[in-house]
Amino acid sequence: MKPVPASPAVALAPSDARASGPAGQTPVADLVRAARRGDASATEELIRRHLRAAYAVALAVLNRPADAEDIAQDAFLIAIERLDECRDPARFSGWLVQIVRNRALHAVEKRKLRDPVDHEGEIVAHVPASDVVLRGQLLAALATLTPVQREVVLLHDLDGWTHAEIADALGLTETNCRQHLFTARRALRARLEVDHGT
Amino acid sequence: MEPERIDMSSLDRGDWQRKSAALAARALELRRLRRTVVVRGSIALGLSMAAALVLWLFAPKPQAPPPTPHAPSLLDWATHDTDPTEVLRYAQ
Repeated sequence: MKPVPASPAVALAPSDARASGPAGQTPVADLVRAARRGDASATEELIRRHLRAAYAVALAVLNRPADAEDIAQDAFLIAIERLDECRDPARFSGWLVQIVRNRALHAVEKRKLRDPVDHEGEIVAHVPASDVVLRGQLLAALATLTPVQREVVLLHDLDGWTHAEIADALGLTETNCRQHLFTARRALRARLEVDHGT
Repeated sequence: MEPERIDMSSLDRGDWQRKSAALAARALELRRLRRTVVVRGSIALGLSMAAALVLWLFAPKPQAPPPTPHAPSLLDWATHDTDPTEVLRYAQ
């Protein structure tokens, strides 16, 4: 199989902070309870473990990295403010994903009203040109997937979530999650190979 | 077989540690502010309700309206003790 081009400078960096946390890390439910009491370090840890995932979900909806980051941060502020409303602290990830998705969809609606001609992606001055091209190709390829496929592939390949974590957060079965990832990767690979072939 | 992982690192905005710390500080500040507003609002509401209750309890009672003078009648004279001069005054 032909390898998919990757950014040479940046190695794959799966998140070191997962939703449920590897052995030795404080369980997310305990972090949520401590954050509710106003514990600063627990709040920071909670954000550190989930911010990139929130970004991935927002990116799956918005397809614009800068907007996705803004939405992820806004959604997190709302989530921390309404932390008392999270009924099951162990399922914080799913609750957060829902908030991020809603905020992102709301932003898409606003964008449609404000900016009827959608510009795909954006150019960032400080990023090397090759990265900008690759990013554009990736965003274009992602746009061909279904929303759930985008969420699965971004959570898995960008933030390094496991199938169990994704299935739990998105309300899918693990098998379903694997199928989405399989289809998404195959579609992305095909699209990126076409881009590189031309 | 599962297709190989796609390298998404060019989509990664990076610097998550610093961003998380800044966001946590902002979130905590907002939470603290919200709590302060709620606590102070509750105190203000409680005080105003107590003041309203005190005012209601100690408000001066409305005075009973003075009895309206009514025209004397034969029935009144027959059923109540009546001063004869009053009857005479009416007759005049």
